[in-house]
Amino acid sequence: MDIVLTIEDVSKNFGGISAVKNLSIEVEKNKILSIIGPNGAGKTTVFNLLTGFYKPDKGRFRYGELDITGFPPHKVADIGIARTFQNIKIFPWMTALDNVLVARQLRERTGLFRSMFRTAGLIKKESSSADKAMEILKHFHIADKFDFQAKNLSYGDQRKLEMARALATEPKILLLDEPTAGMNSNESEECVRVIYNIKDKLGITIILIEHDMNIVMHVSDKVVVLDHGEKIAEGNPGDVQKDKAVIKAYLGEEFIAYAENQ
Amino acid sequence: MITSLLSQQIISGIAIGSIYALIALSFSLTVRALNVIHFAQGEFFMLGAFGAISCYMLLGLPFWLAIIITTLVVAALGIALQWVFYNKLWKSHHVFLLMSTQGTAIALANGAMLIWGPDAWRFPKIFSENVYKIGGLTIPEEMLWISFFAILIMIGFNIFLYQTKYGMGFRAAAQDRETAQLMGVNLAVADSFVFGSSAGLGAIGGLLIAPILFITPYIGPIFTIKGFTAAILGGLGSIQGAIFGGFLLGIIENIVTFWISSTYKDAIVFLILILVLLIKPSGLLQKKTIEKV
Repeated sequence: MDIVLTIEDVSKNFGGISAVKNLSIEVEKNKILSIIGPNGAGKTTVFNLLTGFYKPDKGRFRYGELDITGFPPHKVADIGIARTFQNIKIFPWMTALDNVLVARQLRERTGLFRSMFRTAGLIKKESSSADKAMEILKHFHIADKFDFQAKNLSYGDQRKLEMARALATEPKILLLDEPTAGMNSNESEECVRVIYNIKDKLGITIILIEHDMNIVMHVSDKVVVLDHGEKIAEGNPGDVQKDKAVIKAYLGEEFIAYAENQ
Repeated sequence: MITSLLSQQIISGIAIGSIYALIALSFSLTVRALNVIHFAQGEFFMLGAFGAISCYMLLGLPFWLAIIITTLVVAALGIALQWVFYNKLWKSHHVFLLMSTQGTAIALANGAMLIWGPDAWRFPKIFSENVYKIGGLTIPEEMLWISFFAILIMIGFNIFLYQTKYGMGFRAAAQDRETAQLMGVNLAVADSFVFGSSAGLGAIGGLLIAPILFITPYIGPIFTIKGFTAAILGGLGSIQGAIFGGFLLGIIENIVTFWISSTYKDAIVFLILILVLLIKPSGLLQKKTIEKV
């Protein structure tokens, strides 16, 4: 078992309310790990802790052997962790292409002098950077809208753009926060295909927060269930589905008997 | 006759307009990136002029070196002020931040008086005093150099902002601070770039205009207001708008001086400021919303 990311006994409180409590998760390489739980269970908080927007009160994050606890977001991005947001966060006044190019600049640093005076080598490099960005847009079927201001794209295209931009940073781990929110069933299906492709073709490890149980049960290699910031179950999708604590958290005590009779 | 008089005023307006454009640009940068109106812009401008005096007149350095040293020192001052005051006040009510920039302005003016004294300084002519006569127009060479350097700086700044990876990262941070970090943008660097370049651009304005101005520690506020007016004219927070507003204000001033009265020049400019704020607060260039950097 190849562990790329370890969450070790992490806790985070907000004004005395515990958002995440003693959470430990091991994330396996090139697998899809889903985090599920009722609203307010602390799922997004885990993402915010991981990407450095919050500092944990307790516990550690390890990326391979590297302790990344307390890394600021730009460093977390640099070591190869990318994310998308539940409510889409694109750069609204930039074109679709520029949104992806912003992400590329993380991997394609050039000296200030060279970028001001645009040496021949740099112009070549820049056009290859734009080519790469276009290629990524093509994968998401939004290449024809490359010069649209991002705010003018449709909701579905904005979601795609956000994912395209996250991939453009060349991550090793991709955190997806409800990627299918607001999508119809056709769009969701396409999204699931995309997620599979990211895992299989690009070899990227995925941590997924998702409400749609069909999708979770379908795509996940492992599921972690949170309730009130605590891990109440962990395992493969089939086992988690039958877990009493999970049924209780989602549906209430009275459904346990019902589920057992099924 | 009328057209040649008008073109004469427009040409005279361009030189001072390019200086207003630099200050307006300083204003728009902090507004666009951080939503901060920094009222010490005129003082950075004043320090630029005194930097020219200290480096060139007192220390005897060449003018180009005076430009580089002064710009860097004032930019560093802008960054230092950011770290000492604004980073701490940024999360509090915006009025506190606004007042702290105004307080900074007063402190800088008084600080300058302690160093350089209250009397006016006259900077030597460093640009040629030739005057070209083309058609019916009179063009002092000095004005050409001032406009030329100011425009050069603004073009360079635009290239940096729109053509380089760094500029792209900083523009991304202005649109969405949180997400820009995930693209590897270091916000501490981005913010310091904003405060540093904002102060530095104002200083360049002061350096360039030093040869044609009596310099005292108290020239700041009037240039603050002029730069602010220019920024409002073009749409506060817009980079291109600030440059447009600067030139427009310079030209309007000259036309008013010539056809109405130099006594009421400032009064009429501020009347325009009030009218624009009342009728089209998003600025003359903007359709509805201001385009982000």
